[in-house]
Amino acid sequence: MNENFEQRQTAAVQSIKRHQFGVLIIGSILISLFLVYVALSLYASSGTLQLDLSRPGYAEARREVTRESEVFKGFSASGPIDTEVLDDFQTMYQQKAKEAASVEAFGGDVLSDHSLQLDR
Amino acid sequence: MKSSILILFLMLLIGLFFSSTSHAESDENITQEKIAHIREHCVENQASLNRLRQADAFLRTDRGNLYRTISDKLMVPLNQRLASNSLDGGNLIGLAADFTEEYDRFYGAYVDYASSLTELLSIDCSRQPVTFYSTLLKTRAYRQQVAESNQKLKSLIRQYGEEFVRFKTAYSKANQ
Repeated sequence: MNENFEQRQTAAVQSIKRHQFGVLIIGSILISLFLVYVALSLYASSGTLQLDLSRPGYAEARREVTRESEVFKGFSASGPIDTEVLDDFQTMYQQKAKEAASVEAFGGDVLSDHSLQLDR
Repeated sequence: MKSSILILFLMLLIGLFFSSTSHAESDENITQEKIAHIREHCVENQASLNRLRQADAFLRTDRGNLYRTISDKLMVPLNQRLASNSLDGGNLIGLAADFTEEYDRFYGAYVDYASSLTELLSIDCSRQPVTFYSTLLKTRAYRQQVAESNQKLKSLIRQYGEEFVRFKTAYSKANQ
């Protein structure tokens, strides 16, 4: 019984040794498929999938996104505090707060029965 | 042993029965008239929903970038700078933490909404009007959550600004 098992095991090892190149190729393909599966799972589960505008069907959204000509540097986390520094912060903050308040996003009743003409 | 397996099987059957009944009940809420409207406006609604998906995807990216900028480049650095100068910015720190927490909710709510909208667009409304409508109701609820979270973020931005003005006034008085 044990001898049989050992013989089979030796035969399997020898078979692998004979087809080393094939085993390498198949092994590489299997590992890469597994890694692709893990990567796509993370892409979907992290929510990146829903935010990715490079997907097909989002051409319109991509066109609307414009790169800002000036990069917003923000407020420095180090340095002293005085009235002038606080004034600078207030100017920067007011600018961004104004941008935030200017758009009424995700509002309205665009998915209502009335908008989709399901009530008439 | 056999009897316990039988009981488990019966419980499973009863569970399945009730779940299918409740599903049927929710389907019955859709009138025949509504089903007819869904079929009638199917093509134009699919086009409208597709446009909405694109517009909302852009809005999410745009607003998301702005909110991250406000948090990472303004709120957090100011709080750090106040702390390094041994100044008390307690309320500002609390509001910044609330903002980060709400942003996470906004992020999750949008992911749920976008997934639901994608599912809605994949349904053939002329062949499956009932499934289409129930998914529409779900998507509508998710969009409402995104809208509410967005409003809260805007409110927190305003509150942080007001709190900063209070802080600045107190600082100016103390250093006159």
